[in-house]
Amino acid sequence: MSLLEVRRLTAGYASVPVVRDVSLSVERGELVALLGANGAGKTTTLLAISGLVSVYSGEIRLDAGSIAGLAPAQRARAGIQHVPEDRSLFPSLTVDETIRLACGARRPPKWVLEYFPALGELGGRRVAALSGGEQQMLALARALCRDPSLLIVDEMSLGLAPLVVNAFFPVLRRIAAERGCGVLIVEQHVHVALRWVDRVHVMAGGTMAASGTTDEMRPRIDELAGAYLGERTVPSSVPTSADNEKGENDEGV
Amino acid sequence: MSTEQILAFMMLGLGYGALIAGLATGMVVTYRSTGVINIAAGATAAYSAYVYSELRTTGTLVLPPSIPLTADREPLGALPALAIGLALAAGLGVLQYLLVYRPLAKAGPLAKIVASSGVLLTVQAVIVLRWGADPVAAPAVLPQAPVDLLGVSIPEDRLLLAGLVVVVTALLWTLYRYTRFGIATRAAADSRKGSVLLGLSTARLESANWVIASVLGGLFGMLAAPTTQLQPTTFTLLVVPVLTAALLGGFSSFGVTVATAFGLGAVNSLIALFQGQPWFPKVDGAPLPGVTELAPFLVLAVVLYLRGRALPDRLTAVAPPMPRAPRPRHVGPAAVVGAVVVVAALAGLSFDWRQALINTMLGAVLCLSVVVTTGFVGQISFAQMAVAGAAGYVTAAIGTDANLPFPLPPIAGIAAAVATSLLFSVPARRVRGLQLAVLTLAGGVAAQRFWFGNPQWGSGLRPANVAPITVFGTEISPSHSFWGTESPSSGFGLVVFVALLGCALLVVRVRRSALGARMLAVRSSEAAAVATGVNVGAVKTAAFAMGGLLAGVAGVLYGYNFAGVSADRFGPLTSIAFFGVAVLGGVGTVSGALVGGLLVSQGLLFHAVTTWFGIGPDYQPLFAGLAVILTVIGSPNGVAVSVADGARALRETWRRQRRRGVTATGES
Repeated sequence: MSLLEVRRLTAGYASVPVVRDVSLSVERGELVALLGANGAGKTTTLLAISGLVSVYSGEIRLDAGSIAGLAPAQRARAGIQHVPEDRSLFPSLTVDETIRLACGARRPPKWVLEYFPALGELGGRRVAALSGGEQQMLALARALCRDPSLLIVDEMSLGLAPLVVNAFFPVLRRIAAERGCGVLIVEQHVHVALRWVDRVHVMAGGTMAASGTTDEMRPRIDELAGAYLGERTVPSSVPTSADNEKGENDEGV
Repeated sequence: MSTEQILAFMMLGLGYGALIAGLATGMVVTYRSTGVINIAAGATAAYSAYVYSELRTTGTLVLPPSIPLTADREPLGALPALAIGLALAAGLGVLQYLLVYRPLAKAGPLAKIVASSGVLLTVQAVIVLRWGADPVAAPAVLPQAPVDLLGVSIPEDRLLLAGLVVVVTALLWTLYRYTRFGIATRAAADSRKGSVLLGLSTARLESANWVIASVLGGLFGMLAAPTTQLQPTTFTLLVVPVLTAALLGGFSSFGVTVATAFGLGAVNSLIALFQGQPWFPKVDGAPLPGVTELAPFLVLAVVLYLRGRALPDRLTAVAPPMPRAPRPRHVGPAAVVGAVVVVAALAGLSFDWRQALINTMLGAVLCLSVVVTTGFVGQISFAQMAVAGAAGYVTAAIGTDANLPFPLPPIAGIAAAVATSLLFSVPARRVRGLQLAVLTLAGGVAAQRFWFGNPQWGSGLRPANVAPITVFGTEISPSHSFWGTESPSSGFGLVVFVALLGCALLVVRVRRSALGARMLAVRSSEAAAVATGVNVGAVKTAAFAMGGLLAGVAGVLYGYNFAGVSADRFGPLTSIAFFGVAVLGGVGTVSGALVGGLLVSQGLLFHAVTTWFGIGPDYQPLFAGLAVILTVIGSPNGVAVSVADGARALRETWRRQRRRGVTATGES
């Protein structure tokens, strides 16, 4: 029984379906990537899971229970935490206030600080004054404070330096493994994502084009990248800047 | 005038200041939680005060159905009456939120402020229907025994009220600063999506905030009513100093808001003191009126202008959703059909319907001015009635007092309207959105009291006569027979129609011109417009000039229609009602203005309702208020655009079906 089971989902905006017949699953302790070019329907799929866009048909089940009738806030309380593309932070609040809102305590819980030790230093800083990387860290920590069973992260690397991005992936990996929650991410940096995730779903034109474990997908990635991801084929053998920094920040951010 | 006297009067102003402070902090609360500038705050607070007064005098609870709570109309005790008043205020807060503002959660500030003006009109109408427009007794809640303080003697309730405001402000500050509820409220104001994704119930938060605001308003309404006057218009118009205080507090700082409120209270009281002094300017032996209303306007104008920026900051750079403003189509045929219908109607309708038609056409001209300033350029101006009033009063002065011949009076009147409108365009260069709405509302109040209602420059409480149009010795006025028709004459109706047609064609031309495109660019994003080389200031000035011209034409025609102008016709509440009606019709299009004209008070629709359904004119404001609320929720682009969309959809369906029919026949 999967933690998240999406079956034949058709969803969209104002009666225009954007994603059609999409199926995917996320297991507990698993890090899953949803890949695809711009406009492939990745973000819409995530928003449908968290209830922010209309679902026309299909099924979304969390822990085997349908969440179709739940409002977005109820889904959040049921265990789905979604870090959207724009992060949707609260600029006028301080970091401590944001954390307090998420978990009720005045300071981030210890186990959250283990993943994001730098958060401890930011306490009274206003969110609007944080750097992009710090904001992303706060967005992840805020979601994590709710102790989610499913963590959804959309375009984590948007606007961030590759070095910062590389620091976040191992943390997500650890969160999935240690907290036993499922993590579903949307990522444009295919090759970076492939180094850390367990399974991959590739979307194109609003439908699911390919799914499989990372090991199954890795040999096909150049072909998929050319066909579906709108990327120029980059031979995986060529080291990228990301490869060079691999493993430097595995401990936390 | 001694120091003790000044001190005593400043302290007497604490009562008024406390009322302003209570309402203004409530306004900050609703704005912070739901982005609504609740201009109905004064009206709803007045409602609680009226209910309290009724309970304390006859023991009857007015919901509006009257429920006697005591035997033999015995007065109810102060505490139970206060508790019921507060419960009612809380209920009113929840109801307003659930029925009006929750459905508008994703709407822009224009829709919200219009909805709020609908609530104002509705509550005001209920009060007037139940208690009349004259002041009623407001029984004291707090002890009023004189107390000596710093050598002056003032009633105890002023001090208690001021103390209560300070305590309440401190509580509110603590609530929003330190409690999880307060943090959640601020978070939801920052990002609704973020709050929802975190699992917070924004609806619960928002309704709780509406309850807090409404209870604050109700509490201070009941407590402070004895220190001011319990009269519907006075109380409703408290919204101007209230908005001044809230705006100066940036709709966020309780401290600055309350300090400004007390400042305004003191100034208000001091003006009352100064009015009794020999040096205070006098008109006909009485002190110059309107100075009290001028004060908040001047404070607002100066502070907002200095604080304003030539370009919006990051927070206001995103264009709020505005009603659609499509390019006008089928103008020629529409004008011809309109002309035929109006001429036939003027010739064939009975006098009452003819008057309603003339009122409708007048209203449409005024709505056209809202189309240009608000619909095309996105500047929310609540002063259109004041601009029209300027035209009316100058026409009266030039035609009657200076006795100059036609067409000099209307030309001078329209020029005065353009000049008044341009005066409002000066702050609009640096102040935008809701701040401008508040500023123009205050300006409208100041203009009505300081100019129109002032015997020195206006006509005081009496109307000023407007000499009729006379061309080559022939009088064209509503009362002068034309082709044998009785009053109102169709000749005057034709004049109004020609003016309306001219104004409508002018607006169509502007919308189609390059200037029209620049106006819409400014409306969408001032920053982007500047970046593409549009002179935003010049476009706004042009829009205000044109809005002034149109409102001026309306004002002049009003003067001719009623053979006079009076201050109460050009009041801010009429401006608010007109603005609501214009948005109801649709501020993006000329057809919207025409629909708006149909809906104005004493226009065709209301005449039809009165005639056919026997609903008296007393109920018109109530229905107008409810119609504004319902339309802004159901048809945010205005009735005209919704009807056009509906008609287009029907045509498309019909065409598709016909095509399918043709194909089917062809295949068989």
